[in-house]
Amino acid sequence: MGKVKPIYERLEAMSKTKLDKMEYEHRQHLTRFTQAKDSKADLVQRSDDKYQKLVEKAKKELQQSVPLALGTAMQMRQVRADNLIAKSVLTLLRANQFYHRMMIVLIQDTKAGVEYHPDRVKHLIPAEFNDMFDKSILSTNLEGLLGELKSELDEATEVNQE
Amino acid sequence: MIPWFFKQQTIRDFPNLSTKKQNKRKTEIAQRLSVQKQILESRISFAKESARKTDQLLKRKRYSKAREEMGKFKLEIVSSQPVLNTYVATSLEKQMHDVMSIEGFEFPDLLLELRNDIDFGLFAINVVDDLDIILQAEIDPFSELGIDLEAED
Repeated sequence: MGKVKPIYERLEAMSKTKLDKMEYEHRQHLTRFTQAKDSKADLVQRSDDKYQKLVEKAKKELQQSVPLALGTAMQMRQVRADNLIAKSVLTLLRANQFYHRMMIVLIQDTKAGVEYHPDRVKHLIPAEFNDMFDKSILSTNLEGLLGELKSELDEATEVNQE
Repeated sequence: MIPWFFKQQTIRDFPNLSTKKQNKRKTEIAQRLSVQKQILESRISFAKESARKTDQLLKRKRYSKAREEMGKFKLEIVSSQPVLNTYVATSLEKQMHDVMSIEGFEFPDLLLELRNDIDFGLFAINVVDDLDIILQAEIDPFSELGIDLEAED
């Protein structure tokens, strides 16, 4: 099986009409994914705010009643899970947004006769893709939260035994 | 490396399905998620109610009843864990299908070829396998939480 040609080489082999059509299509897709990404980013922000409010609520409750704080902590788990899901989906939307943006740049470069450089595409990738997550779901959402609940439960059990 | 979630054949095949078949699959997932969400919220609601009752009983110094109610709360915590795991997996599946339905969707293969350090979060985790590990570990879920029920009785 022959090696697949790099994208830049494939673009160079296309006619201007074909490149124009392709650029137009990628622009349409870019608009769609930008809108979807912005909408998801808003959702992530709302979810962050909701989680923060629950944390504040639980902290206040903890000063008065451990059981009430535990009830709020249960709700926090679901909000956090939804938040991690939304952030994961946001990465996928950003990847698609970037892909179409990159294609537009490459098509325009080809039309302008810019000389191909193998590292050019690599340099287009924003560094921001690296820092989306610092922990996996198993260390934060599941085990982490259970651990937090456990220590709070221990305290609650002590209260009950008094 | 391509994240585990994107490598599944059912996911890979989805963009090539007819609109009718795509919609059918999306409806099935949405229905499954709706049931799971309902169960999860119901367990959280029960847990919160148990927590509220415990609080009231403690205030009235009815310690024995309060301990019983706290036991119910613990049960809700542990029983909600597998539901939460399943809910996360299905919600991820649903949202992945929603994104794949957007015209112009591309799997991030090219991007990953260029850079392999992009973190796709939950998509990189084998939810099914990890779920199994968690469930196996929860044969005695209270001990996982560090709670010795027998000692408390």
